[in-house]
Amino acid sequence: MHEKMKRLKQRLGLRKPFSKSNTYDEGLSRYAIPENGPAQNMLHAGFSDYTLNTSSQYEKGVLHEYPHVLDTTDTSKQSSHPLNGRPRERLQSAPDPNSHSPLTDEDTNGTEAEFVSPSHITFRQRRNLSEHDLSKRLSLPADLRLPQTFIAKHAPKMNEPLSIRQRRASLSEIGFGKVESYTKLDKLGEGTYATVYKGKSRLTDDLVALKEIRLEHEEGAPCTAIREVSLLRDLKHNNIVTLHDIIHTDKSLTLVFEYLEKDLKQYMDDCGNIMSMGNVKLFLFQLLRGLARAKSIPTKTYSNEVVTLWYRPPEVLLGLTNYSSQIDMWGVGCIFFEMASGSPLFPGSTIEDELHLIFKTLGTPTDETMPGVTSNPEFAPYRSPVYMPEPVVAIAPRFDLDAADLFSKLLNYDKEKRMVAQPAMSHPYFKCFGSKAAHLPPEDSIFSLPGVRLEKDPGLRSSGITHGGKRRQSMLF
Amino acid sequence: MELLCSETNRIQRAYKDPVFLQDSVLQQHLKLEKFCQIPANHLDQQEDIKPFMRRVVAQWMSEVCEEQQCEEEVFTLSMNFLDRVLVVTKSIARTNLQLLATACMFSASKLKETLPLTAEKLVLYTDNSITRQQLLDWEMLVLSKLKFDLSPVLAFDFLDILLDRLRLPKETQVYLRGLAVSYINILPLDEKCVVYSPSVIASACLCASIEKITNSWRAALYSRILKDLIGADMEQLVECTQRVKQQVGDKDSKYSKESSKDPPKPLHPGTPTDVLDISVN
Repeated sequence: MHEKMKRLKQRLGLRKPFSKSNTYDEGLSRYAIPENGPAQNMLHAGFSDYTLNTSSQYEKGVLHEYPHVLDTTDTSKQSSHPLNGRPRERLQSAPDPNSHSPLTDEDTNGTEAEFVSPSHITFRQRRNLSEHDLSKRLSLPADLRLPQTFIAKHAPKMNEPLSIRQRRASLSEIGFGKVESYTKLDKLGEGTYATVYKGKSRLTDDLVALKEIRLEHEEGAPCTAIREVSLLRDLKHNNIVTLHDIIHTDKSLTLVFEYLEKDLKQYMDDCGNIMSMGNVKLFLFQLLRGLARAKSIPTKTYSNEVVTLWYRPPEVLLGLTNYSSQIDMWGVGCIFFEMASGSPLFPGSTIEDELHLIFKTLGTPTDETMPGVTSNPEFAPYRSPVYMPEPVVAIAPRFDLDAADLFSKLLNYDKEKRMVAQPAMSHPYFKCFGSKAAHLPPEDSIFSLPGVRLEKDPGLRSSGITHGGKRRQSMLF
Repeated sequence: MELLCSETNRIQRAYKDPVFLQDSVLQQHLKLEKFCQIPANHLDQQEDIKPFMRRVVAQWMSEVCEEQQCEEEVFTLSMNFLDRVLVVTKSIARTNLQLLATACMFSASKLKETLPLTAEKLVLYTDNSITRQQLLDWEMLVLSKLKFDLSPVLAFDFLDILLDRLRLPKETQVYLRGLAVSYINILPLDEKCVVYSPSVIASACLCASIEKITNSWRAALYSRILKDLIGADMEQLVECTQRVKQQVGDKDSKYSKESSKDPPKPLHPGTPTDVLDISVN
């Protein structure tokens, strides 16, 4: 069983950035998918660069950021969560009477005291205001805990202009870029050039993933690391994993990433591969958002090794050497199916097998459906038998009409006509999210939209009931 | 189950992706380039390094990149790295300038190429005047001085978008692009050209290439279109175009001078190459 799971994870490439069984770096070296470009964005580490808001995040992050979501959910979750000790809403002027979060030391003069003594409010507000302003002045994340000594030193200088040099000095004073600011917890995995640890930031108390890259190589800093940093440092998006900090020492370079509880594969494992269709829609949308954002940062660095076999589009399987952003969308279609049905769409073991599976399901391509295919010598062995396409409803019975339409547009043989991320987000399938969803500001979560929330997955293992395997799966329509 | 990756020896290349030709990409680049402007006279604050030294080292870098057939952006990107390091680090000794330049090429090549320049090769190109360890140390120095901001907006980022907007026939586009690429790669040799923004450089190089194949009246028309596209000042665009033409002229005359000095080849400088090729046999 364990072995099977491991294999599943390998082929899916859907792992959290630094899961034990298969680290990011192993992924890189084993499959040699090291470069940037569209393929890298999605698949050089599976989807690990894309963050989906899964239930755990929903509990800890989204609730804080969007208090109105709170109204519709179980508030007990919030107060029971250990990270709620320092809720983000504490910067708001109006205290929330419902919040009974367990208070940490620094909050002893917090919420409860505010009702008792007005003087406390003014004191607290003043303190927070200067801390808040200082954070703003230095463009720091709002949840960063600034040392009191730092505030005392810098608050009086608030009105003086700030030079880049001063800002940098201030950042280093707070603790950015310093090894001491992070505590290493468990080792999550080791790859050819990096070791990944779970860690904790002493600045924010948040969990982080520490990727320690060794520099003692013939060729110095690995080019994958250089590219990774230079791409991610500019990408601030709710659905792309965040690079928080870079620490450079003599022997190593440590990248501090946002810590993610689990990846899509683990999520699917945890719910017995039976997701609610509402959640499938939510996850697909977030995947598209992440891809659309990555695509708007153009870089022309492409690699020569692309995409895990099961998610590789037919034109690449047929030896096409030119590729572009559409290459990712085929994989999105495959994952869409996989989330809905719980099993992979084209689990081929070789290139031939993979092509055979694709043609059998979607029909043998013609020059009309895939321009130029018949003149491609690589296609010759697949000319016969000629398969007819299966109807989408037979492939994926859980898809409604809109889902089926989007699915077939993502799995278009003609890469020129294959739907790309941005228009896909405006597809009727997502109309329930409202018109604003496709144009949310990059930092905002999809859960900031009214009424958008995760559903309970039907396959989620509740205590006492073991998951029922095939029989239960066949009940889903 | 094993994942089979069919590795080939061919270097796979991206085809022209319409996504990168969208207006939003142009606007985003125009917005971003304002943040990566290198100040004029950035060498003034250097205590030891003089402008002519930058010219010498730039020439060497350009030749290494050309000989190694690096990707087209590598030279320009390494010059961007070099200039930016010189802006933030005041006291670089002249003896370290080539080392710095090598480290910049090393990083730029890692970023842009499928098969990057190796440390060994680069050390050889310096005639072993630097060691591998020095190169690796300085690579980290460069990366941290640049704060890992390694994808600045370059003139190349504008080239294809602007060319696309001119709506020229396909063959003309290909020809113009080739010319413009070579011009863009000549410009960083002159330290005074750092003041022009990448969008102006791309437009100016396109203008200069257009002037080469058409009359000045039509060239002026195109330069106006380009000016509107990037929202630049006409005067600056014209000035930059003049500088491009001057630089290209300098380089051409230098090469023809060199070849005319060469005794076994009694070539006439003005003769087109293809005609020469025929007359050899």
